[in-house]
Amino acid sequence: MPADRSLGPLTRRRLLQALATAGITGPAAVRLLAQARHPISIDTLRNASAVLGESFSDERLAVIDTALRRNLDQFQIVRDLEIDDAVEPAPIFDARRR
Amino acid sequence: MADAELVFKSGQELASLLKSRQVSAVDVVRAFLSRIETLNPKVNAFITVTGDQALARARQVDREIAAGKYRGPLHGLPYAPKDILATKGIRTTNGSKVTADWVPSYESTITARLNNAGAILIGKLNLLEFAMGSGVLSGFGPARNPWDLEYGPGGSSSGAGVALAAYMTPLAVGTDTGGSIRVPAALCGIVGLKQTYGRVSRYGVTTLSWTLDHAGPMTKTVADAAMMLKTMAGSDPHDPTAAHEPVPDYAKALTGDVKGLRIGVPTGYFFDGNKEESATVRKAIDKLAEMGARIVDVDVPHANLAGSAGWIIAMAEGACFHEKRLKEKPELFDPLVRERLEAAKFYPATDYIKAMRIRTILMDEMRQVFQKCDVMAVPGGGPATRLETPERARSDVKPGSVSTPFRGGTTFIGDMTGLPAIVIPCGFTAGPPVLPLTIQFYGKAFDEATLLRVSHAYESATDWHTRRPAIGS
Repeated sequence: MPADRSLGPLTRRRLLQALATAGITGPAAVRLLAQARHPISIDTLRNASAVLGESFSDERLAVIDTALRRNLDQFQIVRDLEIDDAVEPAPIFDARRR
Repeated sequence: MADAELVFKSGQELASLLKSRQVSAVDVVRAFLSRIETLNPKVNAFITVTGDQALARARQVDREIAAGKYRGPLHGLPYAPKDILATKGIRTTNGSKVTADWVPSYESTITARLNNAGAILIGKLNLLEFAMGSGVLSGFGPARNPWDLEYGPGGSSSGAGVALAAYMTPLAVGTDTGGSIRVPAALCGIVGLKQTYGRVSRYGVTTLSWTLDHAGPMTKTVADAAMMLKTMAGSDPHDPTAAHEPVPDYAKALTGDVKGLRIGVPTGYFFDGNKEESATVRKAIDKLAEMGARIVDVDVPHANLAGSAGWIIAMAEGACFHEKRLKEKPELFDPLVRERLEAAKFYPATDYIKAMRIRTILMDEMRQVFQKCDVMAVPGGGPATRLETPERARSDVKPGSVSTPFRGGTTFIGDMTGLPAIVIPCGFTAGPPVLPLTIQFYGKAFDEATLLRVSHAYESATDWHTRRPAIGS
């Protein structure tokens, strides 16, 4: 099914386009969008750790929190990409291989 | 022949001298060991030097050659692998305190093949911890760029780039997950070949990412890279991802002729990096056009996503691979490696799968590129920058930095698509300091021969690869 680009909620991509129209681009636009996103915190990470079956100290959670915020800012461009349903993940398993 | 003369010869030149018995393998090994002893305290390229074993092996090689049992062009040539390749009975540290005392009970396929061809292991090379650390805080300290010791050599095959640029070994082996062969090749001004995924076995190479890891030759000349690849390549029962493709005689591709070869030059992204390097690479492309190549415009619309998507894949797979060590010995990791791997535990599976779908898109786009051209030319990814301070090297989150999308540079797309790529010298910065600049060629899957052909032709028409850093000259 082809991705429908005309409908749906206000995505980050559309917001970026709107900001660009208003002359706000690059790091400034990224900062604005980062502020608008649901924040993560040490508490949310502690809860998520339980899902992972892991236990991190508060000190480690603080490091992970900072690193993850940076990662999430950067990974957003991956999440923003609208991909056609026909595109499958790159094949790794090959049944013809020994 | 004096030691100083020997170390400045290419692998191919040394092979000719060894075959004709104008020099002995012992002479050659001694020359490089002497060079290592002098320079390693300054550049920290080697973690382990296997001097005694190398000399014993050299004596054996000399007896074999004298008895008419010459095995081929690698017979008697010293080489050094990145210390992430398992070497039976020889410490393999992965550049980390976590595995600082590991002595493997098995041999990587690559080193086994090089050893069987008669090459002589002279030591194990420094790297960024587990092929992803800071370098600065990795287990064995930073390697330093021979062109300026205050500058970084790039990574993660940092020691290989440094050892070759400083003439401490004629041949080296690196690994490349996001650019780890090609970036140090670019920053140190040597030849780095990342072959097609599956062309060379990964057996015995400590994993960073199962789906992105490649291993390949790093050398001073293109002919030496061709010589090494011929020996390293081929299927392997130990590695199911090692391809059953026939391995050509790469030396036959080194004709010096590029007439009619179609060189694609991307119109966006790849040339948005360092301006001095981009301008130098365009001059190199002009030179190839003068030599008879045809230049065509190409486009890789989603090239800018290769870095972010590749990072997700590499770190998620790395976190999975290191899960046990990270639980048992977290304090022994480079702080940067620990931060990256612990953060990756929180990446959603959907991000990983989406990154793998982006991989499909990039593979399709590159397939279209190679319908228009035989190779694609882009900057190598330099020049070098100053070594980071330990404080800044501790984390990816730099004080006062702005969060921007990962730039995969010009290299990550090669690992994401599995396509082969080679970096070769094509100039220097105006300076100071004067630092190497390089051009990178991408090719079709399993067509390393064409990459070697164009690189060798350019190298033969220029002298960039013959220039030496001041250190040890």
